[in-house]
Amino acid sequence: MLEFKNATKIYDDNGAVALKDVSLYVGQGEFVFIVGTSGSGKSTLVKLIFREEELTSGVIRVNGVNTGQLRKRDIPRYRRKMGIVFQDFRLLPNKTVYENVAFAMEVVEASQRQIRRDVPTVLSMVGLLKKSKAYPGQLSGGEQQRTALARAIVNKPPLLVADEPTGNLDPDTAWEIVKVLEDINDTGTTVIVATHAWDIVDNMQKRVITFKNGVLVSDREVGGYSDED
Amino acid sequence: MRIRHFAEACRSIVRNKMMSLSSVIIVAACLFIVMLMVCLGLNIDSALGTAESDVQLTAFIEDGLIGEQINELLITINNMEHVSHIAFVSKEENWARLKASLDITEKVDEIVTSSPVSACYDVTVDSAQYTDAVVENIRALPGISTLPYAAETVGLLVSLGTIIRIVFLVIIALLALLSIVIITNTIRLTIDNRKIEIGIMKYIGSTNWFIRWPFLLEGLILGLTGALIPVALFVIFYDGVMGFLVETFQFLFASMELISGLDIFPVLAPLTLAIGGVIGTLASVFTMRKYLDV
Repeated sequence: MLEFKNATKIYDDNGAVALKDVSLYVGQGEFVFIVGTSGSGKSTLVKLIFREEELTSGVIRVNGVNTGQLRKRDIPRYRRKMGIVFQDFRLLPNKTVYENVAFAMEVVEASQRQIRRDVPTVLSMVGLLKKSKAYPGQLSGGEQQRTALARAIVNKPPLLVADEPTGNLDPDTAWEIVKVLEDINDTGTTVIVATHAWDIVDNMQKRVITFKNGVLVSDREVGGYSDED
Repeated sequence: MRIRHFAEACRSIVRNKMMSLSSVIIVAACLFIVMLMVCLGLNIDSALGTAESDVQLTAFIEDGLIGEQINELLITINNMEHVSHIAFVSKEENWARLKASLDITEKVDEIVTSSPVSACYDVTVDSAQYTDAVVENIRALPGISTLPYAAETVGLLVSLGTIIRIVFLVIIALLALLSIVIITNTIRLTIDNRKIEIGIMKYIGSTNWFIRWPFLLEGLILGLTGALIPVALFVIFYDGVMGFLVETFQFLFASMELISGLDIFPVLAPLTLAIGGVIGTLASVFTMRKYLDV
């Protein structure tokens, strides 16, 4: 599903080493937390997965695709095979909840019939069916993140990557979002969550990969954030 | 392109209505000024053309030439290049004409009983710039006594016409360039405003063309709508305004031949619309380029 082999990322502009010789493997259907302090390399790892950044050396394979060999024009199709969720939700402000989710299907050229069928289903799954006509500005943080999650999974991607999905949310709402992520994982989708929310990681007891200064320092099959101390 | 892209472009214009409105107003204002200068330039060109064409010369004939010689000379001059018209004026007709122009008929007739002036040819040259050559050729003909000609005045008219035309062309070119810069920047602002939106589209796997089409159509619609306003204003009001000006300032426009809307707009209207549409579209395309590389 997802494989990093001796992956190193050095930023050209300031020469900072964001990831150093990282090797890891995530199988189909796994739920993995990527943890570490700010600047540990979590966000870079996420950016490398969805190919916003390119590796300096090493190999990353996602769904069998070597991201280093992707041509620019192939990146959109590559990204359609994964769902991406950000801390700041990144919803289209001028579209309603329904339209934001439907837009992800329009991008992959789904028919209007498919859109009318699938969007309500996924909105129902994240508990937002009643808010489908609301605009992002009219939603709470948790509702916005659930909209982003609905958008990320509406095309049924085999992989969901979330970068600090609870970073802007209060603890209760954050917990709700994580439960939605778990529900998504239960459908067979591989879920990778980069976070520093130690309480959530501790409670979930899932696989935890820890980074420190760009180096993978531990990879526990089942564990918590605090176990790393 | 699909209907979905067109619908998306229209929705986006409505959603960003203030930015869209300001873009349309700026495109309209810029193209209005350009059209105004083009119309002014064309009318000045036409007026200069009237002044420069049909230069009238009077070639006096030596006394004593008989009918057949007069006719032969007339044919020779008529066959010359750039002579558009020639008419023979007898001594009597010429004298009558002179008296009429000086308004001295009654008093002079008591003193002068026969014509003191020679017969002549009224020669019309089709363009001022060829007058020198025509005058030289006529003067060289035997039987022509004199041909008064103010070479400097005609030369000045030709030079002045050329300068005015060049100045107008430069002004129109500069205004067009300025309009392109202003319109491009305005549409750029409209799109800059939505760079986050473009970034999100890229993250969820939109291809560049999927993103580009609605923006490109949006630029096209804004450019065309902006161009349509001055075109409509000119088509509706041009002839009326020109008629009013001619009537009000008769002393100024009496000798000028002004161009009617029917002569200008079949070319200028579609050209202005095309310029508006092309600038709008190109501004969108160039602005988007930097945001698509995510």
